[in-house]
Amino acid sequence: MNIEFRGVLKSYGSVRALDHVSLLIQPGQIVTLLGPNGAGKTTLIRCIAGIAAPDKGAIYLDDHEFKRDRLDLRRRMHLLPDFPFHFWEQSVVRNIAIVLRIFEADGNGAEERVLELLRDFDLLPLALRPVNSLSRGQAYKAGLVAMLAADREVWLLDEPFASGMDPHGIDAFKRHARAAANRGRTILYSTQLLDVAERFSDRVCVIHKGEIRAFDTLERLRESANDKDNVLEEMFRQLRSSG
Amino acid sequence: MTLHSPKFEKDLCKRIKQAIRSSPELRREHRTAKKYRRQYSGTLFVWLLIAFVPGFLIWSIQDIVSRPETALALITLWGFSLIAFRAQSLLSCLFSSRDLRTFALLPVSEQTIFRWELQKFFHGSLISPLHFLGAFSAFAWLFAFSPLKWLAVLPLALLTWAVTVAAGGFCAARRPLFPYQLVFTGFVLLFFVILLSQKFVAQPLIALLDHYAFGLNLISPSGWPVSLFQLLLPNPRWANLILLVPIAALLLTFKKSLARLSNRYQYREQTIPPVADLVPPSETAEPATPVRAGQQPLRLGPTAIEEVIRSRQFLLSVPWHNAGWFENLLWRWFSEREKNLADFVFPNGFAIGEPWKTIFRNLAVALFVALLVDLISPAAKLWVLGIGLFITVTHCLAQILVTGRAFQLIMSNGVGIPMYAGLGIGLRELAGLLVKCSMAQLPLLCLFTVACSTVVVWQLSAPLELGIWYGLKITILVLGGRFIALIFGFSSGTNDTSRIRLRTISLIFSVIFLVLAFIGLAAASLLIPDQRFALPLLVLTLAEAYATFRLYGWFYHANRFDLMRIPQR
Repeated sequence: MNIEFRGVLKSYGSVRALDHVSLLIQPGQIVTLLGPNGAGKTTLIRCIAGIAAPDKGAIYLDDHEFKRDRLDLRRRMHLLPDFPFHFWEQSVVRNIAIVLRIFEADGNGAEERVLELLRDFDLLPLALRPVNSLSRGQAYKAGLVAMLAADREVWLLDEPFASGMDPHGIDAFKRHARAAANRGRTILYSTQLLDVAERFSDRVCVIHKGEIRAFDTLERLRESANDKDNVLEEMFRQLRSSG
Repeated sequence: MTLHSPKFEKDLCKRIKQAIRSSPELRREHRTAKKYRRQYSGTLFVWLLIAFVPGFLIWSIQDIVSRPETALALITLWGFSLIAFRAQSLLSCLFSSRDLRTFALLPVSEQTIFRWELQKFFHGSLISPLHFLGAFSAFAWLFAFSPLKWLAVLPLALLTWAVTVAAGGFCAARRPLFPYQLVFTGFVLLFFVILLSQKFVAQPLIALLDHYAFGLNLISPSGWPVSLFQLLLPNPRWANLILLVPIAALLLTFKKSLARLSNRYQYREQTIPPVADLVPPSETAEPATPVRAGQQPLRLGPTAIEEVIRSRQFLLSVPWHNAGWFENLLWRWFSEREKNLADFVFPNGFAIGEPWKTIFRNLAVALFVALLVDLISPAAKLWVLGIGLFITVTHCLAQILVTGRAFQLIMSNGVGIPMYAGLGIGLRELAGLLVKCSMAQLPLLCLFTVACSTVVVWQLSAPLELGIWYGLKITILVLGGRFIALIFGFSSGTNDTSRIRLRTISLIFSVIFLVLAFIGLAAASLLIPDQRFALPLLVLTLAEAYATFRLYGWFYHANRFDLMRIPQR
């Protein structure tokens, strides 16, 4: 699915969270959103998910203008915020089942997919436990399993690497995300971890004060950088000094 | 340990300001941040507006009130609703405040947290004296009080406030599970209806109030200080001074109520056992001997869990539709998509038969008790009947306007996002499901409203067929109310009213106008005696409610606001 921002402006009071953002994200990519706190990363993700409404401009999904009544478009995306949408008193599998049924992804083979994912994320022994009895990282993994099992075209993740997941979970997520991108899925995630962004992205989108400062592959960004080994760090230093 | 240290905060602020002044970059950032802080919160304005409603009410109904006692009874009722509100806000402050989660992680004693939350409750209640000050001032104005009498207005307003707070504390400590929010909302709606529909609603209600004003002021705790105000009016009833005794007693209970709440104030970690319905029947049937105290309960290993998943048992929804005829009917009415959504809205299932049995049982009990009481005191019978009807009607509305978990908010990055929005569920499909849930209960609602209105017309010695007419009409109006309630449900998870700009103002004004029109049309269709005019009005009311919902839906789909609730700063 092509995601295109055309002059999107979004303000909260006098703060411009997105300042005339124009951007085209093509399918089959892992896109990392980078930027200082309050730069507009989460707002950008929320705009795609239909939660935040742009004040000006529009978002086009496969050349269709995205409005909230376009449920066909909305169901092709899956949002996983920093605290997943769980019924916390329900069990892990029940929460997964609810998500699968909402996205109508509960057809044949769903059970094997869920089983494999639960195993991959070390959640199988905890599958019948209520989510509120799990640790934060485990609860996040439960949301992630639901997302991977539903397997929508666009995955929107807000700070997945600051979610309390253990290294094994992070590794499993990366493997599944890479495989999904190869299948043509688009994965858009925000992070503050520059080394993760360097290793786990096809494109990097640097956002600062609501403006897109860079949107390119890491190789291209390296070409234009002075410090080629620490291209993202240099970029952040420049952002700070430019104000 | 203290949670708030003004000296520390003052010193910190001073140091921060010094640091900002010394750096041009920080000065620039600070200017931007200051702009961001300058937000307009409509809540305080709304509360101030509500505070003047009692005064305005007294002033506006002066023509149709024959005795000052009746108007005082209206203040008593207002005070009574505030008692319910105070009880609810005290419980909310103490047990479901957002900062409790943070406190649970800090080395702070429970008593310190209790005091902190209590302080917040008191700050929140400080606007209440204005309600009574406004109402008593309206009286003083109408009766051209002397300056000496004017001096008594403020202390009496403060005393009434203290009584409502004490009574609220009493209720919260002794009946924490009572639905206070519903009581308060019901009264507020009643007052607005009186204000807006004077001819049709206010007059008969005031006539009823006129009849029972004396008893009401005597029985309701909020009426005790109000009765003292009567001493300032012409023909004072000095015997009212004796009410100082129960007032003092009630005020003295406040300390005890707080102690009672404080004793219960302990943080307990919630531990919920695994969901039983997901265990395969063969696994649950195996341990024939019950688990005794001290014995380890059966634990499911990965193999059993794998079986639950492989058998697709986990994908089945909770079988609530087998619980009764109405549940089954509703389930069969749902489309496949709605069945999936029902699983989301009612993750623990949705009951129709059982709650309605309780409603009808409570109504029957209230009627029976009222008939028994009638043998002793006909006036007390009316009170029993009124309370019984109030409780059952409240329960009935909660059942018919059910929203399940549809509008539940999940906190994410400092904002509350409704779950339905996060999971890509649309407004129309969710609304359709909830409307179907209400419509499936229409026969039961109809039976209930006919029963209630028949009881009321029987009390008023009116023809019984009038009761049936009213019951049928009210059923249709409640269905219309479903659409209005949906607007508020969706609105609860958005920032549609949070910023002053053209789109917000146009939304607020059009919705308020249409909701008021709905109330007006509903009152007219209910009270116009000629059914040839009343029935088309009824259809118009229903259509108007639907149109209001569609208008809100237009704003929603046109991306006029965000689907997230931004907490007030």
